[in-house]
Parts: sequence; structure tokens; C-alpha cells
Amino acid sequence: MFSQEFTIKNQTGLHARPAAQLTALCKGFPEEIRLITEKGSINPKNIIGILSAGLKKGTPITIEVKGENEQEVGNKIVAFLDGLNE
Amino acid sequence: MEQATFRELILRNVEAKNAEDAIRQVGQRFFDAGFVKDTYIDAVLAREVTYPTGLQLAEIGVAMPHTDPQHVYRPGVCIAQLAHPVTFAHMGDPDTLVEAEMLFMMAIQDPDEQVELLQKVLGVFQQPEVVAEFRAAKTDDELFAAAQKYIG
Repeated sequence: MFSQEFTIKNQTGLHARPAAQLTALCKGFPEEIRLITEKGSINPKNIIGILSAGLKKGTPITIEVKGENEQEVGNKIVAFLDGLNE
Repeated sequence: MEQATFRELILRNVEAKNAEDAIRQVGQRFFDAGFVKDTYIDAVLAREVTYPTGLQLAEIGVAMPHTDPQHVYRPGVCIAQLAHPVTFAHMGDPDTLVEAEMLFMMAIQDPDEQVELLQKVLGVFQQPEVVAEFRAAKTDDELFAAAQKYIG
């Protein structure tokens, strides 16, 4: 399983637009993806889960991916979050 | 956001032909109340095409149209109960359509606040008893009371 810790670092956090982009990205992968926060586990293929978690700047999460291309998919998700700059 | 809901930003029985009409009517109230600039409505409509804001929650379909802070004078949420649901595309999944019966149109000035506001609205609208209270509101005052109680 791919597992990597990440701290949300963009100023405005995962509001509607980045959350929508993350959901669209994750839906493109058949792998099982979870974002683990202090409060619980989120399925990022469901945007309501992401928005309900309130992922603001500074929120620590762990990205977990299980499946055939877990490493590649995990790296793509990290790269996406890392690239958020607004 | 210290205060999100305002008495003058409550609308009921909005007769809208479609999502665009709903956004125009609700946005007009925002403009008339002095919360947003005259560029706000067109900016919201443009953003809705690229990043739709319909959300299918457990008990209710809603939409949360918004746009960038440069179109906003002061922050708030305009809450509109539609007379009939209108179709929005789903946030994060534009191929899925949502029959929205309420609009929570947001004027965001400090982008940090958006995450909190989205979290709050989604949190309260996943509780069936809260949805029932919003649906049951028969006057502007009742709808405003529910908005203040749950959204602040």
C-alpha cells in the first residue's frame, strides 16, 4: 500500500475548486484511495467527503492508495496537492 | 466569517426557470443589499460552467454558487428556497445532475473562510432534522431563524 503524510500547504485550503479537481483526478483511478485525517477517513472520490472534512492550510493528512498502480497514483495525488498554490 | 447569514439575504419561493435564472435572481438580491459588485453575477455564472456547485446530500439537493473575492464588497451567504427544483451539475462530477431545491450563494471575501463555510453547510445539511426545519420554514423570519441557528 502507498502511504504518505502530507500537510495541506496552499493558503486557501481544499475549497470547492481544488476539491473538485482532486475528486476528478481520483475518480480517474480504479485504485482504492483514502485521505486519513485526525477526525477520520475520507474517500476523495466523493467531493462531499472532502468538503465536509474542512481541509484548511496546515491540516495534516495521510494519503493511502491500494491497488495495482498504487505507487504511481499516490505520487500523482501528492503532486497535485503539492502543486496547489492559491 | 463572524456572521454569515443576514435577514436581507433570505429569499423564499423563488420562481426560477433554470440554474442561470436562479443565480441571476439570487445574485440580484446580493447586489441590491450591497454585498457584491455589479460584476458578481456574470462571474458566478461563468464559474458555474467550469466548476459547477450542485451537491447531492443525503436528504436534499443544493447548490452553492460563488466566485472570486474581487467581485465581493462584504462576505455573506444568500439563502434561497426555490419554488421548484432546478438542475445544476454536481461539484467535482459535472456529468451528474442535481435537482437543487435550495441555493446557498456565497460572497467570499477572505478565501480562507470558504473551506469553513462549505464544511459548516454540508455538516448541517447532512442531518435530516435540519433539512426538515429548512423545508418547513413558511416565512422569511422562520427561514432566517433556521439559518442563524445552524449556519450563524
